[in-house]
Amino acid sequence: MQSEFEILSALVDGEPVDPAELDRVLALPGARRTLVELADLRRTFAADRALPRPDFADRVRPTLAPPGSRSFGESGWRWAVIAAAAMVALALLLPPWLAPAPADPPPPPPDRVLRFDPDLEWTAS
Amino acid sequence: MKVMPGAAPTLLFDRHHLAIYRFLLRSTGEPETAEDLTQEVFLRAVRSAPELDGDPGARAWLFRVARNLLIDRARRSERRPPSRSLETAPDHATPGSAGLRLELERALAALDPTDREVFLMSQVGGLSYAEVAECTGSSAAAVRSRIFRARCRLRQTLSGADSRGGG
Repeated sequence: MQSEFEILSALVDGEPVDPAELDRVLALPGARRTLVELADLRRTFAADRALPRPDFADRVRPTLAPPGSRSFGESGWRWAVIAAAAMVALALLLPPWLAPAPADPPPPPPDRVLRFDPDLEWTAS
Repeated sequence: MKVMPGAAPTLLFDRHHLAIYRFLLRSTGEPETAEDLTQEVFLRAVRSAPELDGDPGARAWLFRVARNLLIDRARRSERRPPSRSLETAPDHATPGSAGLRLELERALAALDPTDREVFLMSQVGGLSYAEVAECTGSSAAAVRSRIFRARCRLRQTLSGADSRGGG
């Protein structure tokens, strides 16, 4: 193809062209045939209908949610925070009879001491 | 229309993923790679520009990311986008006979890589010359010349295929 026909290539792509130049080029020998061939070539590639696998979009869409807008189910750390908050609330709101018993108080100090003397004959009266 | 935050990336994906996928498929010749790269394009869109959907330049932006991913991939594999695999890429949805499809893929593979990139962005991706120029960092006039040159080469290759097939 002649380089003058570049304008025809742009024309079939819907790009703006200079009408005066287009008029001049269309008068050149072979212009009509070239225009038809260019249109045919464009149609061939524009008809590309290749598709990804059927589940592609369903696989990708869930990954596109911005981190700040993900649901609770997608954010493990949120569940951890919620669980911790629930445990604290439960501990604070439990009625006394369901609350765990306090630890036993410490034993009192001894008030007497019994000593064991091995030399004493304790069976003798 | 005001787009809800968080919905934008999905809308962007729904509107543009097929064009991006086809561009990447015709550039790599590998459907699985094209899917992976398409997903990466939109993940980058989420990370980089959550509100991109309202931007009229969103499509060009996505193609620029796709182009950068192709360049990274070519650098990593230390080779140009494959030409041989273009001939063998399974493709169940392009119209025409298997023979014609094969000839088209061979003709594409024979193009200068930059011409092919520009041509595919325009013809398969549907970008305007100005958008292609924005993606590739060139001028619209250069894009126009490259697309015309690609068409001349494609016509030459396909004419040769026709004469071989007919004779």
